[in-house]
Amino acid sequence: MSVAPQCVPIVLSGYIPGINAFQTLGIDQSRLQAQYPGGAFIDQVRFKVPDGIYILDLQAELKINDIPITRNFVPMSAFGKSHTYEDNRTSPTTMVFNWKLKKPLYLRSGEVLTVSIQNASIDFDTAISEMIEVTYIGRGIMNKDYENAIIDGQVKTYRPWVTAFIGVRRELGTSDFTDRSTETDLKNPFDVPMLVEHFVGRMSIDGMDPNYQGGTSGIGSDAYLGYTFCRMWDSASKIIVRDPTPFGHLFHMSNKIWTVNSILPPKGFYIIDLDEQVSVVDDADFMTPIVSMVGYREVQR
Amino acid sequence: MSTSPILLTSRVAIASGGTAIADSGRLQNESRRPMLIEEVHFLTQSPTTTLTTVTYSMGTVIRAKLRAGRFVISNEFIVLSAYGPLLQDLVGLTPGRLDRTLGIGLDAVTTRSQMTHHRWKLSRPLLLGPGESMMANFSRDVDVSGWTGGDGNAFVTITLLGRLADPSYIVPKKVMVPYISQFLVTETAMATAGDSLSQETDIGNPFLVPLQITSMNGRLRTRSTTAIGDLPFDNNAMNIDPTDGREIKMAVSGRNMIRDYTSISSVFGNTRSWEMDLKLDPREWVNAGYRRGSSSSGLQFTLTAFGHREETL
Repeated sequence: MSVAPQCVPIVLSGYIPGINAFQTLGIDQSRLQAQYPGGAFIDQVRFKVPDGIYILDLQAELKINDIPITRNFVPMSAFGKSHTYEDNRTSPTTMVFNWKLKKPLYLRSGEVLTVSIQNASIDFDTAISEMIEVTYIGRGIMNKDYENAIIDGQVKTYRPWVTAFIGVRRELGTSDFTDRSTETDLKNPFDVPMLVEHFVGRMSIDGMDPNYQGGTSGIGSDAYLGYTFCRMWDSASKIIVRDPTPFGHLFHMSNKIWTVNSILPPKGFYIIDLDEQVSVVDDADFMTPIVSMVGYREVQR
Repeated sequence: MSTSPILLTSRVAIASGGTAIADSGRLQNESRRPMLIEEVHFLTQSPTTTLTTVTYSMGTVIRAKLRAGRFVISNEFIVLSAYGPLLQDLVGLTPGRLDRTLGIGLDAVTTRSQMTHHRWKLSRPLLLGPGESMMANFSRDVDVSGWTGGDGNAFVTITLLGRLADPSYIVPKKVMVPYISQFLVTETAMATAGDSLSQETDIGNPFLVPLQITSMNGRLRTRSTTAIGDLPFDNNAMNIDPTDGREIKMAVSGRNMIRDYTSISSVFGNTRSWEMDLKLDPREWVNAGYRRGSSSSGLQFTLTAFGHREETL
């Protein structure tokens, strides 16, 4: 007999007051703990960062005890779809990167989805003195028997997986480049099939979104839309993207994601190949492509 | 169940600090069949006279109180911009969202023929019986706090979108009726640092049946001679210090919903809407606490809860 969860909406949040260049910090776990009798579901994860210029530098690693949710550190901008088109408004001095999970992540009572934050300092080799906040939007489960049902295997749960390929930082307007992900970048490392929900394609133009039309970085949209081409295939050599396709067409410029909803077998992976014909771009900014894979798998507790 | 779409609309003029009632005849289901309302839209137009303020977004100063037949829809006058999630942010260039000239990220535009559009998609269709009307009362705050004048008439259009039930449709004995409630932190309170706590009657279930809350929206309004409109939650312009606390915590019947004070931008996100599935038992209410810093003068925070309950026809 299945047991239905009796839920109450919850928000759990924690923060760090700032972070030095190349530093990694954790967030107070007691603030992120699921303190409900039957555990909790996490439906959304939000990263509030102090400015829209941290497309690449601010990265997060998520895990539950020793179970990884992300493969090492993933840029906070590369978890979910973009809601704000340009992600670089200069006067709202903070940005919220939102990740809405396709399947809720279940935490047992007392468990914590821990998060570590890293200032990778790829675009900006400086300390960030403003607050960085991580928030979980979810549901607390009030009936203990739901947790028991999960432990007994009566109820299925799901765990998300986020992994990213971060390309090489290149200077626009100098010469053309190529870049390619490795077999471990966009991989399902588990022994069960994974449902890949979407890919996020970001491009950091000196830390900014290519859609940003203020300052010199507006020129970055040339590299994003017109001069960086993608091809893609999977571990079985099946063609995913056959012809060189502009980066901004694959990962649409309005929300930066490509929804695929496909199955990736155990140990399977995707390879993305980038042909960056950026020597013609009339700009001296630096660009870094980011492609992440977001999916989930079914687990038995 | 139903195939015929139908749209009812009514437009009223409303003066600064005034009230207006939409023509209920135009919002009446004149069919012999029940009508199922699925969406309610509001369109506002700024006064056509020369405006005193630089930027204007009337959806943030006009409020609506709704009643469908004998059923109460809202507990008080609800500001129009709080109906539904933020539409314009996804588009980026739609008038009514972003003031690029001033670069302040305000939900208003600088030109003086502004229109704002707000869409409320009901969590369950609302049944309007044959001959029944939607009663819509509007009120408009004075344009600028403490200002007895005000610009000319603004216009607001309410539109009901739905379907007419098929002739074979059997009217159920019980129907789902939406309900909106609101917790308003007064502008006076916002002028000083401190906490504001909601009351039992703000966000609660006044009915004898359970109320299902499906979303909560947060809005931060400014109302001055500089601008009238909703602000992004974090903005260093418009006298909002980004390091200044604008945080919220929430509980229902001793169960924590937001245990620690959390910034409103994290809770409500880019759409300024928190989708949820919260059941409030009869007479149960939500305790919300809003904490603000000392630089929130001239602002007003609004928390609005949307849901539905079952009523007997």
